[in-house]
Amino acid sequence: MAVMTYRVLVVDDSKLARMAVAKALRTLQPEWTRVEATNADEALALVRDSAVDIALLDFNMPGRDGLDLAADLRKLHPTMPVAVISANTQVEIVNRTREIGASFLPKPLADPALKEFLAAAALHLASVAR
Amino acid sequence: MTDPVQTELDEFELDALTELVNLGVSRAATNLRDMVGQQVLLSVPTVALMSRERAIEVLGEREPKRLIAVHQVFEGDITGRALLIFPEIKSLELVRAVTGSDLPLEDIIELEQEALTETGNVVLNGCLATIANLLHRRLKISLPELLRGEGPEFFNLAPPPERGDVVIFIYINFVVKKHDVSGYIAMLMDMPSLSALKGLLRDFIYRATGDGAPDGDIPA
Amino acid sequence: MAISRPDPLLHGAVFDDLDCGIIVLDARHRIVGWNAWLAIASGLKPADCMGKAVDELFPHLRHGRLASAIREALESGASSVMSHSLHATVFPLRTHTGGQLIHNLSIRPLGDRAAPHALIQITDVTAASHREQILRERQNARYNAVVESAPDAILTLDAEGLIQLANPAAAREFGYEPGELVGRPVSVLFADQPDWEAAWRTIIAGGLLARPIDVMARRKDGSPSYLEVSASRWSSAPQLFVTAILRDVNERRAAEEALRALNQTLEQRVTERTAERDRMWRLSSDVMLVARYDSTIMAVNPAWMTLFGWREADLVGRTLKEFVHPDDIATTVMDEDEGQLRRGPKTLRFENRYRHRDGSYRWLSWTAVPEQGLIHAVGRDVTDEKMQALALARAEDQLRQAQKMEAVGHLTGGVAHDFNNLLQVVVGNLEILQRNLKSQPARLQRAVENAMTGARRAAVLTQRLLAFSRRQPLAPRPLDLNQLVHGMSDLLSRTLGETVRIETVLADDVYRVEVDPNQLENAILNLAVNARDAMLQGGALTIETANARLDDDYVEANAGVTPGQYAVISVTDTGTGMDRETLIRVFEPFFTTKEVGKGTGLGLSMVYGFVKQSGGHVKVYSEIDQGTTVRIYLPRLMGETIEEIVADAPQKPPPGSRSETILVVEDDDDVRMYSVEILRELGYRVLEAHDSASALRLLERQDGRVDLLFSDIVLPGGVNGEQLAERARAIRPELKVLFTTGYARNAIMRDGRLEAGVELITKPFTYAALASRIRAILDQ
Repeated sequence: MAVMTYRVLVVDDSKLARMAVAKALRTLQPEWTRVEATNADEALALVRDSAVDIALLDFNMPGRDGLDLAADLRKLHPTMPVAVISANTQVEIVNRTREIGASFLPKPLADPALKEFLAAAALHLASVAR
Repeated sequence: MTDPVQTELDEFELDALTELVNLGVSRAATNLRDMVGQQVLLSVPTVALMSRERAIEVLGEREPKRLIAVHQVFEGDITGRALLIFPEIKSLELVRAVTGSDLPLEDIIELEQEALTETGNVVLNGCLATIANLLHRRLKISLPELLRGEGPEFFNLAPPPERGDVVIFIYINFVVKKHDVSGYIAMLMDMPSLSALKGLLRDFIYRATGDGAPDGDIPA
Repeated sequence: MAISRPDPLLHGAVFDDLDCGIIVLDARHRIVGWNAWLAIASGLKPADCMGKAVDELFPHLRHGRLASAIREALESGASSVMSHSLHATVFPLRTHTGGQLIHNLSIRPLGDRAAPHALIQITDVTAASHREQILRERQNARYNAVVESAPDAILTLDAEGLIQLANPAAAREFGYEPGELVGRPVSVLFADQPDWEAAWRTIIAGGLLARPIDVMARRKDGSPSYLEVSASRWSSAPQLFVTAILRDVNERRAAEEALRALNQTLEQRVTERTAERDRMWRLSSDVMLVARYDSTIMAVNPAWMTLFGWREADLVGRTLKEFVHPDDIATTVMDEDEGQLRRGPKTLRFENRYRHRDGSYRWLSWTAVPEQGLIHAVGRDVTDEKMQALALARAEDQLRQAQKMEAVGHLTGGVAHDFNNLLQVVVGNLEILQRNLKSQPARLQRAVENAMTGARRAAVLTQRLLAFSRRQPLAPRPLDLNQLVHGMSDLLSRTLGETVRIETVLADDVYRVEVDPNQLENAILNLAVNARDAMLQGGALTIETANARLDDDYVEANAGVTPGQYAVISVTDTGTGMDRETLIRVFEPFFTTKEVGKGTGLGLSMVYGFVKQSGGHVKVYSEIDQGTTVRIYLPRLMGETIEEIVADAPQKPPPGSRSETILVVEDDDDVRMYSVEILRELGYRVLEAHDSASALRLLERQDGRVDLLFSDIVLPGGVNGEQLAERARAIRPELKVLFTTGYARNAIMRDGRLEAGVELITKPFTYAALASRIRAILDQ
């Protein structure tokens, strides 16, 4: 079985948070690559210009929030697994995330939660590729 | 003249602090939501570090009218006061948002004190507890107390604890049941506490990112 | 801080006797302490609770504030409060009397990081709450009685203008659900109401509203609501509130509105109508006036200025009679029909002339109506129409006149022609008689003489008739009028007699004309005769020549005139003159004012006919006892030298010779016989034919030469004289032609003139005239 490497988009206005996710990614999927964006517009530009397989989005960002961005990404790339990461775990937000077909991961991001998501994402991508 | 306090934390420490505040305020919003029963919209908070004088100035410029503050003391590796400050005129609105509009005016007036206190309590605890947790510290945070007055009063309360010179000034904005409540969280502490905080932040960064320095390279 | 273990009694007693509930939780959220107070209040003994989690005992507390507070206390050391104001019942607790125990909670961290515990403290606030509640209820009861059931809308606003209270009447009034208004800014009701804003500022500042203010509020659906507002400020320290009572004045307002609208409509209608009337008065191009029955002018519209140049000040106060044309005052019915007007609303229509400021008059067509003791009249300027009507009438008159003349001319022409032929015979034969009677007794000669005279006069008569009918052939020549007049001086003196003085005023530069000189002399002679008859006691006759230019205006006033340059001969007498009636008919043939026998009445008609036929124009001016002037306008001749008019000296008729042959063509046997006879007498060799065909045959057969063709223009057989001459000339190119006619009405005559080079002698012709004419032609 070939090991697929995927490219992960990490969007967060906090450098620290991006670094934390990066660290987690390195731990969980060292082969995969990563691109970063600090806001929704940057993220969309990146997605347009280069291939992105999986997206991890912070919710509370200046400008458009992560949920909006997630909805856009889901429209543009219906097969791309998207996760919204936030400490803002209000039930409405969680529900909305699920409605648009994205996953919700609470902040601070715990490795097990991320691991679970990445595994599911890889599986999904593999099945779609066939 | 540059505020000496501003330079105390470097870029990354400030970034880390901001992230912590983010997380804390998000938590507070979640808790508030449980109280209110409806989604609370939260803006991205802005975080600034400044001296007490400067904080009084800023507050005076931005909120010239009378203010309400919910006050709590925190003790531990960092010691200081936390204040949730918002304009007095917003108080009834906030109470209504929190209690529901059905109550008669008199009840609202009666309950204003307690309702505000508890609401402030929820927000402050949400922030402080989260920050403390992430910094892997247990602080002892006191029961809340309601104050009415103006900036200078809030920032010049009688010890204990000792009057601090450092203020972490956070501007937040909630929308609760269509009521727009914007206010400030001010965390006052003395210099030693700030130093301690700085250390805690460093630890936090390390834990979060795997090393103490920012990662400039992004593996292709 | 570790939980130490001091004196158990103290702690135990204190723990259980505290006048509040205590729960202690360990790090795993399990109850490790439950005091007596709480046991009584909750009905749960400590043994039931120890080791369990709070949400085990009270499942409803699993999520929510208490749970997070406990967590925060244990994990983060945070302290929390839970107020009964926000949480009506956390724990189900009862007071000693069995009533609900209302409680506040505090949740605090206990112990240290090593062994974190949480302390929940439950405080009874029932009494205080009740007291508050009773007070509140009492207040509320009183308050409710008033506010809840008040028919007026009552709002309480905080210092920022947010609605903190709205009674049911307010909700109803503004169309909101109960409670919907609370929390909204009062501006949703009062937007852009300066009155309200001013009142608000006053009250907030601590002032009082002297009296209620009227405001317009906006309902939820946007419709307006009119209210009377009274408001006052009160405080519940440190908060300021304003309570406002709003009384519905919509009905009152609606009534006011309706009344105002009605008034406005009425006013408007009146205004509009007045405005319309004013507009009509101002803008009308017809003149309008209001006058009293005594014709004093009371009011005039601006059209008077436009039409007549009179300002209002010039007219008002004066009477109409000052402005009406004198001739028309009689027809202006203002005072005549005063009685009539007053009797009923009759509308009068009439026309008259009004004086313009510059003195001229204009015709107005009036419509007048009496109203309220005054006369209101509108007048339309009909001057142009009037003038046109008059001009039309005049033109019609002239046309009728011309047609009459034409008709008469037609008649006379026909008669004259036939008569002419007859005369020709008579005169001719008489001449023969005369010649052959020379040796006979004088008595016979005299008889013939008389007959001749009669015949000659008859000839002249017919000639005049022909002239009038404009059918006479004219032989116009270029002429100098002054020369002609000079040439006539003898004749005129003899005609006028000694009692009439003759004067001539002749312009040196008078235009040359081209007319038949004989006929012109005749005309002038005619005028002279008439003048003489008008100056039986003597007088003066003036003959003038001058130049004139008849322009378009002249032409308009005088039908049948071509504009241009004319030479004028005027004959003026100082005689009795003519009145208007006579003047109108002066050119009519047979019209005469002279006694029977004293004039045929043809003179002036002949002049008229001749002048018209010559392309000219004649005009008569006359006034009783002032005299008469007759002006003859003759068109100017451009170019051409003037021939000297050589007066024919009476001569012996020139003879012919037998070597000259004349062919006479005439269908009338008698006339032909006569012509042949005279010519043979004159010595010519004469051939004769009765029509064109036989004439041509003759010409062809004739061996010798034929010098002259003497033919009537009118011939039977389809080929007239002109055509005959053409064909004759074709056979014999050197053939000369002399035409004769009594009544020319054919192609040869162009506008009554002969074509150049065509010789014509008119019947009846005298023996001498024929002889000299033929001689002249043959000698050419």
